[in-house]
Amino acid sequence: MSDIKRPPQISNLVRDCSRCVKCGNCQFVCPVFAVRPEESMTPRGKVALVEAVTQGHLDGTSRYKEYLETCLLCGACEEACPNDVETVSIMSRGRTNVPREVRLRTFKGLVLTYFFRAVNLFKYAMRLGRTIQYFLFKRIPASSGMRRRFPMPVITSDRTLPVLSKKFFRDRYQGVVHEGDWLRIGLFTGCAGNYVYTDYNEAILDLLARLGATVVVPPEQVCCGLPAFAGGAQETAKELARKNLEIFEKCNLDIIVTGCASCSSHLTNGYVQILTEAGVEKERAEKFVSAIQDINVFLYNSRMVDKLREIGPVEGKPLKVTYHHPCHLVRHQGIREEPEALISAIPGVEYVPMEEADRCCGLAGSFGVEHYDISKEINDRKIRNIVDSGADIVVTSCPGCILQIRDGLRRNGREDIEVLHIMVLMDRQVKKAERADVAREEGKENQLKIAK
Amino acid sequence: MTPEHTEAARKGPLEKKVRDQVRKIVGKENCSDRREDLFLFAYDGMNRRYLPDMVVHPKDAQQISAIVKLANQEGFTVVPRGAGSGLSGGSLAIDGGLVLTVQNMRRILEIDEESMTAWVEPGVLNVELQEAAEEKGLFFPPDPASMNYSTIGGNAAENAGGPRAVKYGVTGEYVMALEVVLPTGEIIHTGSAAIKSVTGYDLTSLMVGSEGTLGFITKLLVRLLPIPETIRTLLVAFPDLHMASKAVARLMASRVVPSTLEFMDREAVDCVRDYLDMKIPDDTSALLLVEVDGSAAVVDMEADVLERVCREIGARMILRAGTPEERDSMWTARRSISPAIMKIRRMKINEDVSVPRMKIPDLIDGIEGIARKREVKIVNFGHAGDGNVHVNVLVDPDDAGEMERGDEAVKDIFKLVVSLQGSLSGEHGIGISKAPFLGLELTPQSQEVMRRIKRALDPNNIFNPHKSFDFDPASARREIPRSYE
Repeated sequence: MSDIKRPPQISNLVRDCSRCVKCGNCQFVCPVFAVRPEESMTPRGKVALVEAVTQGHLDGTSRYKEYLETCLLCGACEEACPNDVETVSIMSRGRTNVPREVRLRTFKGLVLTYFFRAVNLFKYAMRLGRTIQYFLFKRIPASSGMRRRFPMPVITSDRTLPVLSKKFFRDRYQGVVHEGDWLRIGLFTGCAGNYVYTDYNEAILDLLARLGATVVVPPEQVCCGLPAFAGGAQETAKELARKNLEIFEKCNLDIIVTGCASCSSHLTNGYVQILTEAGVEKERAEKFVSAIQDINVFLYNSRMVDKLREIGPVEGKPLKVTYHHPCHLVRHQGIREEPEALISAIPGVEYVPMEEADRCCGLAGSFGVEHYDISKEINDRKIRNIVDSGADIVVTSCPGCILQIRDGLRRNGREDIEVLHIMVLMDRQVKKAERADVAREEGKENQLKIAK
Repeated sequence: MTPEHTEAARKGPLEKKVRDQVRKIVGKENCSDRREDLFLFAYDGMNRRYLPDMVVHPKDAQQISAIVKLANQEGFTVVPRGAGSGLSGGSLAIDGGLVLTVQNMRRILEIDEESMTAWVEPGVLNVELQEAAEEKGLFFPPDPASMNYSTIGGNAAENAGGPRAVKYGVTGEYVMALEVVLPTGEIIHTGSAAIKSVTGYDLTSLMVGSEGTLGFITKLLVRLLPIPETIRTLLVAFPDLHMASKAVARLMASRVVPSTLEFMDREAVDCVRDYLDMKIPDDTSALLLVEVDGSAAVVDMEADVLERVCREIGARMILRAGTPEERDSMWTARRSISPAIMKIRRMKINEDVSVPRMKIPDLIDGIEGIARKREVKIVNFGHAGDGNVHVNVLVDPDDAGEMERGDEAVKDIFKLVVSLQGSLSGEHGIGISKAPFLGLELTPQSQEVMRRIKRALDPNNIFNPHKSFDFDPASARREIPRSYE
């Protein structure tokens, strides 16, 4: 047994594991088990391993780590568990059981431990990526001699990756970006929303401004810390959480919103404990966390459904829109009705629910890169359900899911189905309705003129 | 069993030379002796841990036969394992040795619509067979609670039952023929594809329910039935348990055979009240969930009969499901008991005793007395139609006194069951969990017959030792203690 220094939060880990009676209910709902029916892929098996390692019967070896990491953290097993075993938390905490030297042996371990922490390094790497990305991924034909296998061990050259944004979101929008007479709202952009899919943050800005809010984008905000936390790099996770707390506290905000399901899940579920472990007083941490809301919940609570219904109609045949529930919203935060109600209220949209809408799409952050083969198979089931729904557009509320579903649709030759963040669709339709409204007004005037 | 017979297989950890030979038989990608993997196959649904020396995923009878021959030669034990969801410890490697899984035997080989049979490999999940059969308008009647994750091979080895057993019977009644690797390595075929067959001893029945002690099932021919056209579901509340029991007897005598007849006692009803959409009367002492299946014209008439019988006896509430959603919400009552009782105590000792149907009130009354005497909470529910009751003794593992009182209560319950001409296990099997109590139900003579059969088929006692009548309390020394111990 190697000498593992156990962080305090795993002292109760054995007790939490002991709730699992190994009945097997979790296997049936596990998306990974569905495509890899082996005991090491079952949630109960992983819990058994965490238990054995924490008790000292087993070393935290690289194989242990590998087994634990073949998990989407989607939470489907928790929902099916008759004994309320908190698998997701056990997996994240179990990953800290791995000795530092084993963790750092991998590229991912290095990234999680050092890279995310060094904010500037992260930013410059993204800038560099923005410049060189065109040489590396799918856009170069496979037949071309220029296209070479990507040398970084964590990235598969096969996967279509999104293009890094030409101009990062927080480089364009900083500080108070809109002055209004309503709430003072801070926007937590998320890394994906800053570097890659800036469109949903732009949509959120526009929608909040229309509602009359004062919108603040603190430029120094950092990664929420979920990748580090889930990967077992607890120190990094603490440091990032603390930074965010300090930065947002200074802005004197009523509410902090984010359009990233993963960020909002980590900010609301994980932050109080992480911050207190980082030495922040509990009250202070709780006050910060209580101000954070997922954008769907915030808009829903702000009676956005009614407001959308009041907006005039959009011309033409309604768009058929289906919704994919991100794990980080539906299970990790219990947010199910809010996005569905919002979609149904968007002008010019017909909501067509798909089968298994809350089943994980298979990305799960770095899982989708490290285990692309498994991830693809899980994704294919999602794609079948999307196609069967007959939708023209699939919306979701998580940049990871967007990336994954776009990749799946491309592989299955269904690029005609558009994948959007809910907020992007909402903003687009609101603007369309507005234009239609203006056109009608103008039309009326013309008619009046004619009547005269 | 003679001491030599029990000791024969125990030779300490498997030598490297032997492990290499196993690797050669199945290929190194189909087996592992890595400690991480051993821990994954150390447990089953009984939630105890015994570490095997090696985990092996053979792909057919020939590979298993070669391994078993090696086991006899080298003196190590082999333990067959399905999904590892059994509740009596049947797949635990008590002496270490090899765990042989069905992971690489998951094919449905053939579904014959006309003869309504299917050939399957043992690793096919019950639910997978159900789905495949459904496409042809057929179903596989055995429906254990674990059907979404347990295997057909495991169902047959444990002779699993389920709610539908009251009308359709248990797994054994649907197994027609088997391919089995014997503990000495021979591959035999039992039974026949013909429905009627009395040629020789019924070895199929011997293998079914043998808990993996007499051989490894490598192929099964199972019987399927046409899916009933429709189902009617009733939820009935009685103010008195005896009334409910009388209703069960009357229902069965009214020539209506329910496809399901589940009951919950007062404690169980109180547990699930909060989970339900419907209001259950406060004075409910027993709740029955009754279903009839068949053609639409008949089931409505049958449901009328059931309703009338229940009302005459004094039911306080009778609800009839009109839609699949309503049926679902009624089943929620039954399905939420397990999670609900875990909110009361962190651990339940779940025993699936079985008594003649008419003795259910005596059983429940007796259990109430035991709960008072031992100062523990006991919740009962289960299959009223066939007298198979799930007795759940709720205990807190942190409370040593309560744990001990719980164990005493279980012993009392077993004695009570036997005094009511009942059986220690209706469907979970004996394994190691109930082995110490076997003598309560089986006479020394009948246990001796079982030993002789075992010795005839497994002379070196290498096949899943220490289970059922072969139980040896000393074998528990290899157990890895549970985390709260």
